Amino acid sequence: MGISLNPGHYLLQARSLEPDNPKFAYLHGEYLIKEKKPTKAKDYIESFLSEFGPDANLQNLLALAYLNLENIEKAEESIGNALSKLPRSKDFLHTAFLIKKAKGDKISAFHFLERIVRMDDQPFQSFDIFWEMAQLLNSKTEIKKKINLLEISLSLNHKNTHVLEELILTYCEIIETGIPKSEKAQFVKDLYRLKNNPMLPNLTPLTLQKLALIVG
Amino acid sequence: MGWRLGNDFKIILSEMENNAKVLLERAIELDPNLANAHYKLGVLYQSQEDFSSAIEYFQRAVTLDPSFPAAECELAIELGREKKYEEAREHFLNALEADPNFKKAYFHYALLLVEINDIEEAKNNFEKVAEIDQNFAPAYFHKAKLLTNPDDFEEAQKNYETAIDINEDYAEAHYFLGKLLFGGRATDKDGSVVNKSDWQASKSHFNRVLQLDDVNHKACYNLARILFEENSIKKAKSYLAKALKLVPEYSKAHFLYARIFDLDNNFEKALLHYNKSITQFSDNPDALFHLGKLHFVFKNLDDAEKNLRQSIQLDPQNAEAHYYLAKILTNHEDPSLAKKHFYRALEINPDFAHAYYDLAFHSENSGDINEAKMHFQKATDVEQNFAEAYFNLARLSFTPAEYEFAERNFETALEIKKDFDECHYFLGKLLAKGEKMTKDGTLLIEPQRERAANHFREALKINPDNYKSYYELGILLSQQEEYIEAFDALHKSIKINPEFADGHYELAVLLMNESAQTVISKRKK
Repeated sequence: MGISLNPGHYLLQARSLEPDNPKFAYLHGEYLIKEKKPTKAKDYIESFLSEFGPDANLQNLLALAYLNLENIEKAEESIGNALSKLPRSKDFLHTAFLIKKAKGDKISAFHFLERIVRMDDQPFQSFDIFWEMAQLLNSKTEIKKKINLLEISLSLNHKNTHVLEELILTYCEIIETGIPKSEKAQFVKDLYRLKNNPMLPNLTPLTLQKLALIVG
Repeated sequence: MGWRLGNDFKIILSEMENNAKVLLERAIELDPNLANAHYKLGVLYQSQEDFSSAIEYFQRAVTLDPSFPAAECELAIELGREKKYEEAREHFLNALEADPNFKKAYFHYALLLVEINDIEEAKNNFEKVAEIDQNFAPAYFHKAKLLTNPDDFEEAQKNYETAIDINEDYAEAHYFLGKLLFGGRATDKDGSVVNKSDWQASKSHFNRVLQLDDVNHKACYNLARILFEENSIKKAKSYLAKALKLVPEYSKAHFLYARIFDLDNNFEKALLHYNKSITQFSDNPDALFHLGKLHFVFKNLDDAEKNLRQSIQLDPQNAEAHYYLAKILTNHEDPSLAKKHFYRALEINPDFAHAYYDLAFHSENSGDINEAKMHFQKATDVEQNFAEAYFNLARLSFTPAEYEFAERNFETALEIKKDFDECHYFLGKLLAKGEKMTKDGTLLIEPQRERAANHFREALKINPDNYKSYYELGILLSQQEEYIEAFDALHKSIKINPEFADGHYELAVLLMNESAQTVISKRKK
């Protein structure tokens, strides 16, 4: 018999050896979600919690399963249970953000991300948080705030082409809108700086074309 | 034929004594003040073991003749037999006053003094006997028996040897000289205790005893003791068997027999003979201790506790008995019970490294980690090559604040015991984690993955079944993105121990990583 490369095989063994181990249950739930089986994940986590008692990490995972099932109400209930036990868990706050975002409650979503940023003592890990915060800001009134967040995100991970592309497009957008001349000059100057980024060749032709139109 | 002659002789002697008795009684009838007749009648009753009549006649003799040393002496001897020590003493002194060179009176007076524990005076009197008769072997022998202090070793030896020079068939002197030379406790010029044992000479004296008296069970036993110490176990066993055949209830022989079986891992027989030794002599702390220890080894904890407690009651200074009792009591819900006996063992023997070591585990199990660390530390102070103590001290110091201390102690343990796989494993874990606290309280994470991996590999070289080392090595290699090696290591961990749930879990985690899955699948194909 050959050696199995199926993670599910090993996970099943681990779970049969220690059926009450929440760490194993978490990985199994996570595996099911990853395998696009959120209903199975939800059923499994709920039965585990009912048999072995509450566990904050599993309640967070249950929230993610419900989120995958687009059952926002149950997802909110589960993340509420998880956060009541560990209110400063970054993972839980991030799940809460995803739920609020899915619900369309951008203000609450932004608020959860702000909480993560405030407690983060190692900001190099948070470039994606700033990126996600920036993506929540779509209105014209928030465009300067969005630029600031994208600048922070890029400074934390200067090789990220998505952030670079979004930042260039946002600069282009603000420059093309009717803003005072003095401000416009500053934005052009900032955009010119981005022209020297080594990741520039990886951007889409459309973005490069827009950039060329403004800074030559 | 000899027996018949001996028996006939006894009959003749008895008839003669009876005739003498009749004649002496007739003489007393004729002259009741004849002191010598009373004395001789006393001697006759004495030889017939009618001691109370003997005392009566000796008393009459000394009343009739106040300066009659022989009668005074015999009266004193008989009073001593009756344990009337003060009266006996008085009559011995009367005898010696009447005859200052009366050897028998001095000798028996000395024996009386031994009986009443006036050892110095007894020695003087044995010396006096030897002055009067320099060829009286028992005087030298009995004096030697009183010289039990290590300072007197040589003098005792000289006196036994003199007794044997005078009478080379003096079995008792050979026996006691054999014992003296076996023990060999002596002092040198500056008073320090030294060992002057001479087992060869000792054995030859015990063998001489057996030549003179082949049913001397004590000589058999003592020969067995020496042979046991010399590791001539087969010979020792044969002498013990002989001793026990002669005296089946010989407690000491059963004990030594049990020790031999115990060390030979024949526990069933050891148990039998410890029990026999105790049955014959219940106040036997050594046998109770070893029996308790044996029950402890076989997890008969109730019996072990009972025997050890009895042993301690008889000999409260046996540190090992307290130690084993403490080890049993560690299972008790009240941790202070075991602690009490660990501390008692250490009070008796402050250099008892294993008592510190096990006390440390007990403190750890009771939740007192600081105290446990203190005791592991103490074990290393007492026994500086105690690798396991350094290891456990390090294991309990596995915190960022004590990172360097833990690392140093793991390394010390490995310097002492290079093939200590568990220690390599733990040091590997410490280095892989790399969490250390700076003086200002900042947590640094500086894993030393290469060193850690080397220690895991070293642990596996020593013990290829150390599945936990494979597991930790697998996690480490996975962090270093060496996915194939990580997979192999984790797989070995579950192959060695299929019940190791964490190993299965980490394999699942590794295979859920897409990059790892790609690399491993490619390689395995």
